[in-house]
Amino acid sequence: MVDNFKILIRLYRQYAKMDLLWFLRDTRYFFIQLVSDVVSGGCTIAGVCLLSANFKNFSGMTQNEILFMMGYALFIDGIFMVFFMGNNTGMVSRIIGRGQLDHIMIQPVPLWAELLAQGFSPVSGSPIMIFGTGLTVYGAIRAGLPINAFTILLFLFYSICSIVIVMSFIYLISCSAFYAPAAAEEIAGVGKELFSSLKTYPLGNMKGFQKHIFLSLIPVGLCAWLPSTLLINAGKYGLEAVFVPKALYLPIAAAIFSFIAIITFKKGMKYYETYGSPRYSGFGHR
Amino acid sequence: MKRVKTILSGCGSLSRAVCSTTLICSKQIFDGGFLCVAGGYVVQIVQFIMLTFIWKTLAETNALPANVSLDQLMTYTLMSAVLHEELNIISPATSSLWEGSVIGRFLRPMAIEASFISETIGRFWVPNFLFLGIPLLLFAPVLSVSPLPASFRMGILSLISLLLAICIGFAIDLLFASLAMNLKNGCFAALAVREAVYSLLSGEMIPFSLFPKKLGTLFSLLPLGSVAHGPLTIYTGTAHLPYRVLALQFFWAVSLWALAIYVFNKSKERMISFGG
Repeated sequence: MVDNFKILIRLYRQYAKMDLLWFLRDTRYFFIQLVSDVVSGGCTIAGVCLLSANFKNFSGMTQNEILFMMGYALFIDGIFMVFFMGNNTGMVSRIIGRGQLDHIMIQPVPLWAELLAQGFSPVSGSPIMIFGTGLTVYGAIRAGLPINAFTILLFLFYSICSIVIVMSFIYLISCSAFYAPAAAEEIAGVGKELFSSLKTYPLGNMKGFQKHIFLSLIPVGLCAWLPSTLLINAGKYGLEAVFVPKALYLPIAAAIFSFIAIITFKKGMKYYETYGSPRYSGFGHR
Repeated sequence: MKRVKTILSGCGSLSRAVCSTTLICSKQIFDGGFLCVAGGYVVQIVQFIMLTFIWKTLAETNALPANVSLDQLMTYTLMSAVLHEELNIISPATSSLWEGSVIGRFLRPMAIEASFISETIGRFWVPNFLFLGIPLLLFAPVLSVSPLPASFRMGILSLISLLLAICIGFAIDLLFASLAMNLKNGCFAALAVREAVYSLLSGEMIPFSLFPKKLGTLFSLLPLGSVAHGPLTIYTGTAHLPYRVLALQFFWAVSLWALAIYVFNKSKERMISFGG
């Protein structure tokens, strides 16, 4: 296990180097991507921010708290871009549907290590993360939240839980590509779109049943609204706001989602090992 | 056989060529990728439901602006979901450049712009209306959302407004395709910017009446504001001066098409496609 982690670190280093070389080779494209990311990120959060500007208390949050939540949402997008953007790691249904799992399986590293490492793009994926970090800090200051080691660690912990939920959800629906490679090749994009477009809405005033749907089956509320609320409470009331059952919901949900995703992926892999990919057969798609 | 060949190739008749291209493209949804398309519809339905819940919560706390009622807001959101493809036109112009399939369109016996338009109607509008629009219109009353226009007159005016919005949408689409041609292999960047800017500035997702007043007025005067905000405000009866909205749309349609034709023709000369 220790050896595998050493391999993972080495792989991260190699992918970081390749990403940096790409940036040095094609700086023009990097800046196009940078502008595109900043405009996209800005527009995504601007809608809800402008909406909150017109209301004193929008869905149970003040305007500054909404700003903090938008920062958190962008930070999650940033983690996705930095760690899972490259080589379609975050769009794994493409890898499965196109029969490219074979390319990973023939490498002398465990599948999970390669899948974790091959998406690492610390240079080209960084703009959104930097934007998200800046907006989170700005939102926290405006909302009067303390920035100290405790809140930073808690923020990072919840961010990891949120990205685990996003990735688990994407991998879970992507498993359908094992059984329907052509039809489900692009299904990961649907999962990604679900989170991108819906996670920025605050669910504070929503009624019980509706809210629970968005915190369980369609877990968009777990990727910005719930963690932001918990962080705001932790900032306001300190430790007592952290060690409550509500605060444990997010890590437990992340554990459950990842567990289901791993089990489903393993089942899919068994199917793949038995039947292979039809892509390279005489009548394969594309 | 000869007749079928004539229809499929569209020789001698633009309307036939458009119809046959539209028909072929509308059948493409059943070519194997329906799972992803259906997933996209699910996202839109969830988004619609989520927004209706948020608007209801705002109404319950008396937080809505005085000039907007909950019913109007709900109808606005419903129609923006039903007419999503018509209000947010993304033709294959940019993606075909990325894929390298754009060259095939230049070989067709019809103008490339007409080819993009007929493909958009077939590939996006028809399936969207059948599999998302109709179910949403039928399901809306369950959520206490009325799909009807504010009045018969507003219904007719919004139809004219929608046609003008579609004209503007296609012109903007050609402009973005031209941008993609100039960005060379930065097509994805052009698409991402366009998607983000559209969702904010067209008023498709969040009505401008819920934004700060001055900003909402400014957005409604911009070309993108005429695309979704224009027809939807007329339909819901929230446009105070519907004829002025139509006049503004007409102005943007004429000027943007003139600009789009000029820029697209210039950009075609610089087009390089590597294929995907």
